[in-house]
Amino acid sequence: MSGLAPRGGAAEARPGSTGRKWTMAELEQGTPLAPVPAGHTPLIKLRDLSRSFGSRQVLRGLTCDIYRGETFVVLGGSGSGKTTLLRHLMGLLQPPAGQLRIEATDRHPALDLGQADQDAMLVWRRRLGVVFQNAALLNSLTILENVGLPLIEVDRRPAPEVHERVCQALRKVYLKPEDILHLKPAELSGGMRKRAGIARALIHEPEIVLYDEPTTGLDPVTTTGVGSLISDLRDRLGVTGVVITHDLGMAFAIADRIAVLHRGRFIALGTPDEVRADENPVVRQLLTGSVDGPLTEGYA
Amino acid sequence: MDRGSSTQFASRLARGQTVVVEGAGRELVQNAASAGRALMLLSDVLGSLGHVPRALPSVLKQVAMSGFGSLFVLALIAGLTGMIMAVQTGAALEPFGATSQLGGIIAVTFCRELGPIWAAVIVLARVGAAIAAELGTMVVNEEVDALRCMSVDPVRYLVLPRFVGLIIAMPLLAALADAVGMAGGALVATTMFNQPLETYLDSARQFLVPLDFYSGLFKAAVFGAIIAIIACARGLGTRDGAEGVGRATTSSVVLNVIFVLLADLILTWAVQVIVKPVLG
Repeated sequence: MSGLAPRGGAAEARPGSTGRKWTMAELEQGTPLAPVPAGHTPLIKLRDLSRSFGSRQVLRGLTCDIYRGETFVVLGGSGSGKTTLLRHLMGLLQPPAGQLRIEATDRHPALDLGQADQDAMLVWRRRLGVVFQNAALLNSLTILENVGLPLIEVDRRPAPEVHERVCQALRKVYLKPEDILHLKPAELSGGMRKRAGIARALIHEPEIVLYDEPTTGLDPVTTTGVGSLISDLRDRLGVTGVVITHDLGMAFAIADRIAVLHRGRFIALGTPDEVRADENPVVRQLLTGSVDGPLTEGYA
Repeated sequence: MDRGSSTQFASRLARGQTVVVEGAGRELVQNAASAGRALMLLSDVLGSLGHVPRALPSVLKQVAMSGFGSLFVLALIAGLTGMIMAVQTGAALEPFGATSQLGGIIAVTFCRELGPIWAAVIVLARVGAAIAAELGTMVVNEEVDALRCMSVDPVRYLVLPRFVGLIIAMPLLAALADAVGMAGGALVATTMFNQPLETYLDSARQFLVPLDFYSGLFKAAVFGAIIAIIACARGLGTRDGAEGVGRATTSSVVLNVIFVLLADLILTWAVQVIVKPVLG
């Protein structure tokens, strides 16, 4: 990750920017916490969230609110810390106390993920649906058993109900249950596996869905379908979505707000229009996909 | 060799020694960490034994996979070992006219030692390696993370059925190995040393006491628990993608061989020194 940094203390101004030189500190400066706009309620609060693996600091003081019912998209280059952030939200990595807090709702008390015990963590995970990058379906189970796993193993629902709900979930992601229910994941195409993974995340109607690269490997039609599904879940059911993606088209189509993560810090955070207008050269390079910029400086 | 190049050689040698020592130290620390993880996993599995009734279908599936899948190879190896033992021992006993004792010697050796050990070797190589590779692949593919995110406890869902399955399957396999090994010995005793089958069986009955048979089955159950825990711990501890899966599989087999033999030594000592005098 450090290899992507500009070699000098400053980066050249990019075409389209104001023409001034950006210092290293400016390029990596984190965004301050914005006031909560009217009509929004924070659901997830990140406060100076940091994480190191050995001497490598992956997250460096992330601070932001994720509002209830919004679709929050995190963009960033490889190794920027996106997956580590997501693993904290999933409860697979525990932050120090006070750095990651879930606000109280009508049905659940407030929760500090840094201090949550095992029972509290189980309750938190029951509120989550997670879409993994490679679907993460269990190869030894059929699609029916995979998608219905939370209902079978955790809720212990009767078989007819599991069958019915799995069929509904599969139809939501444009899969024909009658064709695939009794197949194993290895017998499906990559795109179908991904959609089955999304169906599994939605099976118990979660309050929050975390998407790790939900459209990687999907064809354009299914990509648009998945984008519509994420927006539909927000609009119809008020589901809060946190989406990690490289897919700029989908990010700008579905996001209420976008955060750009670079070397463990949010360097831009705002509505799609605000991020699109951001002049930070790293943000500009990520959005344009240019090979000329601070992210690739020193490689030519 | 001039002075400069000898200095360089000495420096390279010192560097090489440092690398070897560092490597050995790192391996020692990693193995200690693995052993610690396996002990923690064992404690978690023992804590979830109350969920066995719910996991019964998965347990039976594991018994079938590990048990039936190993039957043919184990029977072949046990039968051949029984025959080889009979040839070797019979040849040694023949000058003394003591080949009538063959049945007893083979029966005791198989029931106490060879039956459980052969079952363990086959299962740790076939089933233990497969468990480590399967769980390692699941870790790499984020399937274990997915289970956690669905509030499904991986220990209860993945480890418990394998642990209980191997504890059930291993004594059955050891009993099979005992029977086939003795049959192999009988074949050689009757054909090569002209011993009537009745003499062979009488000798076995005379030498063998129930403790020999049951202690062998108990050992096999313990070996099953060791194989399952080490294989699962190595599989779930997989890092670094496909390469890590290979490492986990190899180290699972190596550690299982060591710990099964260590457990065998301790259990044999306990049976001979503590249990046998108590039972008379």
